[in-house]
Amino acid sequence: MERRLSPAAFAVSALVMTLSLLGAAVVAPQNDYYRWQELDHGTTRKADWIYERLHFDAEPIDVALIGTSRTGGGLSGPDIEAAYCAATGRRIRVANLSIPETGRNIHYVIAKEAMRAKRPALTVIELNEIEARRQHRGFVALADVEDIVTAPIIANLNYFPDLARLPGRQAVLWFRTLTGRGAVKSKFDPAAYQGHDLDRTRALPLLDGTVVSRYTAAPRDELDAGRASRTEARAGMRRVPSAIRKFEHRVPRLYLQKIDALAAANGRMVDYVFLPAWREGALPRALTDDLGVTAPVIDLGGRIAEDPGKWLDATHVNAWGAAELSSRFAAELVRRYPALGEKDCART
Amino acid sequence: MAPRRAPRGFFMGRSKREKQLNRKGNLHPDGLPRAGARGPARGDFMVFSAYPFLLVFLPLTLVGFYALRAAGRRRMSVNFLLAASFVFYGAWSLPHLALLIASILANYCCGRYVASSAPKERRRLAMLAGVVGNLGLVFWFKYLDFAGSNLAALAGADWTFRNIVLPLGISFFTFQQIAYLVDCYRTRDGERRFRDYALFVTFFPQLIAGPIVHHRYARPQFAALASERLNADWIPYGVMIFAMGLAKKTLIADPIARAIDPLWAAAATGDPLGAAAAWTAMVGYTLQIYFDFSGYCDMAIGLGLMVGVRLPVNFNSPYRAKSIIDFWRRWHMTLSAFLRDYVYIPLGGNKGGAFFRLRNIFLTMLIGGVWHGAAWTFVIWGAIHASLITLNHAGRLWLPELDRWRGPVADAVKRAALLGAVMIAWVYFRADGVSAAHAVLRGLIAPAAGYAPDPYVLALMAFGAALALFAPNSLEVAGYVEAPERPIPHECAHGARMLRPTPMAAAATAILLAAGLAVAWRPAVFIYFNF
Repeated sequence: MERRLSPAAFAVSALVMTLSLLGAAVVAPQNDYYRWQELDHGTTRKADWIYERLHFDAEPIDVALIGTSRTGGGLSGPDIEAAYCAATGRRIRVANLSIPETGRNIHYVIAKEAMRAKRPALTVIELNEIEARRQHRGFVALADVEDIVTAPIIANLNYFPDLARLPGRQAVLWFRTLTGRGAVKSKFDPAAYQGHDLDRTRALPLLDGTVVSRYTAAPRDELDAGRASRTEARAGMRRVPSAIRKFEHRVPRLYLQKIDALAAANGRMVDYVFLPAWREGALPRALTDDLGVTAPVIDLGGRIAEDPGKWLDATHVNAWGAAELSSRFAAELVRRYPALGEKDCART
Repeated sequence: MAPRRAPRGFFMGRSKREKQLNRKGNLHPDGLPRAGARGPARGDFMVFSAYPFLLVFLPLTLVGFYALRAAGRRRMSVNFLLAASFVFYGAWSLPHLALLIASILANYCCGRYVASSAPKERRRLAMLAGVVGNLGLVFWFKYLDFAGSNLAALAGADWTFRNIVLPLGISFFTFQQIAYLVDCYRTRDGERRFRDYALFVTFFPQLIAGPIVHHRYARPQFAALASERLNADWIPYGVMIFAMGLAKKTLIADPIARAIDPLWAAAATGDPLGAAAAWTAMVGYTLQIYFDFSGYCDMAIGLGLMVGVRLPVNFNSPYRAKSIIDFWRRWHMTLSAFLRDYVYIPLGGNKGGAFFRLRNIFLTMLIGGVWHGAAWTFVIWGAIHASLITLNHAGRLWLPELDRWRGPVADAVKRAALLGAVMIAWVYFRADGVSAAHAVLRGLIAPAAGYAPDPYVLALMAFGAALALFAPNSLEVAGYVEAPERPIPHECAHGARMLRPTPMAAAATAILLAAGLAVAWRPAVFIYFNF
């Protein structure tokens, strides 16, 4: 008959074995492509395309746009490329690597992957009129183990939840890797690839196959209601006591610094673009200072924030708004970085 | 339309509310809910299978409790359990915690009077006032919207009822207190120590979804906890049973729920389902609710054992029942006992002949159905079970040869018929409305085109069905019996097959805990938390 353990010995041995198993799950081998298939947003996907663009597409990337859905639906890579070509005669490849929802931690993950795979000459990071306190909830899906474990701890509300989720994520990925079965596809399929010039400024394809046109303008009262609701939500946020206010944006500041350091280590450039919301067209200097953004920001605010014909809702421009923003962005790109990409775009 | 199978990713945790928002066209340009859409309710992190409970609340509570016990502060350790239970409930909602405390105070005072030496008539009046007060509370929070909106529809009036947020566990803690008041009146014996009464109501392993505990069962245990040594031999069994419950919830119930929720959502929007989708939805839910509730009950019992308290058995392999009467002796057993003692018997019970007995059985089961929720789907579900159980009793009275029909064939036929009826009733229980239930039921006999269930989900469902139908349940495996004076494992139950706290059992427990923890990053609320 097998030896019985004392209650304490049983509890300790079960605990130690549980922790060992969870530890083993964390270091289990897994397929990075499958990892980038694990993030979706309910009705849309983007992360898997980003990975495919970075790793399976031979086209280089000169300008990587990284931000939220505002960038995703507000800046058109093909439009910027065409405007840049018309102005300089040079060909650049612009990849819109933005992902819905806010959080600098995921911007860092995307910038790191882009730097590893394509080393874009210029990485442009989105700024808004407000900075989220919580980091991106998809970070735990996309980041590698090291980035999750070494994420900032102080003032990071996501740190411990993400850390707790890590063994489960790794176990799922290990199982997927073992069975050769990703969340969406087992291996890269060139026929299903959406191409290097993916552009969601004109229409948004949903997972059910329907396509939502962005050629529509929201009524003004709806835009005002959306803004009022955002203002109300912001007013409802508890103010951070002055003694610890410097910690409020500590985490995003650290991630922006890491992106800067990553680019510098690769001899590449980083710039910032401000994308407005409805009737919030002014660049928030205090916020950018707090985030440690000292360089001049590409400011796409101004009159567009007051033009109701350019908005899909209170925070996203429609297709006409995106055309205007893309054109202004391209003009500023030409002014600041006139020698990106290759010569003679007409020939290519 | 056969529902489209969206690729299921790692981060699919979108709430039902969010899905509804999207279906109504209130769509964010990136497929996200618009600003202002509410996320999961505050406090959902206190679900037994969620990380904040598993990795923060539970370890801190156990460490604090054991430290006080080790220091010889037994009374303090009971106070600590009470405080932890308040924290547990307060994490869900502070206003509802205030309501819970008010309810405890009122019932405690009422109970003291009912159990006092006051004249019988006055005690009776006090008891009735307490019962009515408790029922009124449940009615206000749970049934006012439903009753009011139906009355308004009948009257053709345009009354609006504000959406009242249902306090978690209100049906459980008020019914437990109703039983207490009635018992006080019958026995003239109430709880004197407020602390013990409050702990009897709020004890966190059973506060939200039961089991419904009788005061006479809990009282000596809490008294002993404050004065006697903890029976440490129970702790390994608590950990093992808890691990089995966690695995049932996170490894079986939740993955099945994620696979079938889109089918139920499609039915709710009026999309017709094909046969494959409808059968997957119905069978899937039959298994989901089984492993969800049985997992919860195991976890509650396991948690109780970890702090030296036995809880009543609430779940005993109900899908192995051979009749609907047997089913209700195995499913939510403490609710069945409550309904018998405090509804069926006050209605008259067996008195007055066969007709009145059957009427009382029907009414009791119907009330049991409505207890689960304020919606016509629950009324229909209750009516189906009430009809079946009444027929079963009538059959025993007037067709005894049917009851005497035994043997393997008879068992198979009876179990198949019972499972079929239970599954059809679950359709009403789960559906978001009667029309959605009918969409699923129509789908059962529709062509099977368009939907192909995920083979992994099918395999999981087959495994779950095998466990539910043929395997001994976790309490049988652990040799658990609810009587606190009996040892665990209780030898007379299953002999050598029972678990012992051996190194092998510790390893198996660790595997279940690790697997349960690994997939607990997307916890779902237990179904019975809604009642």
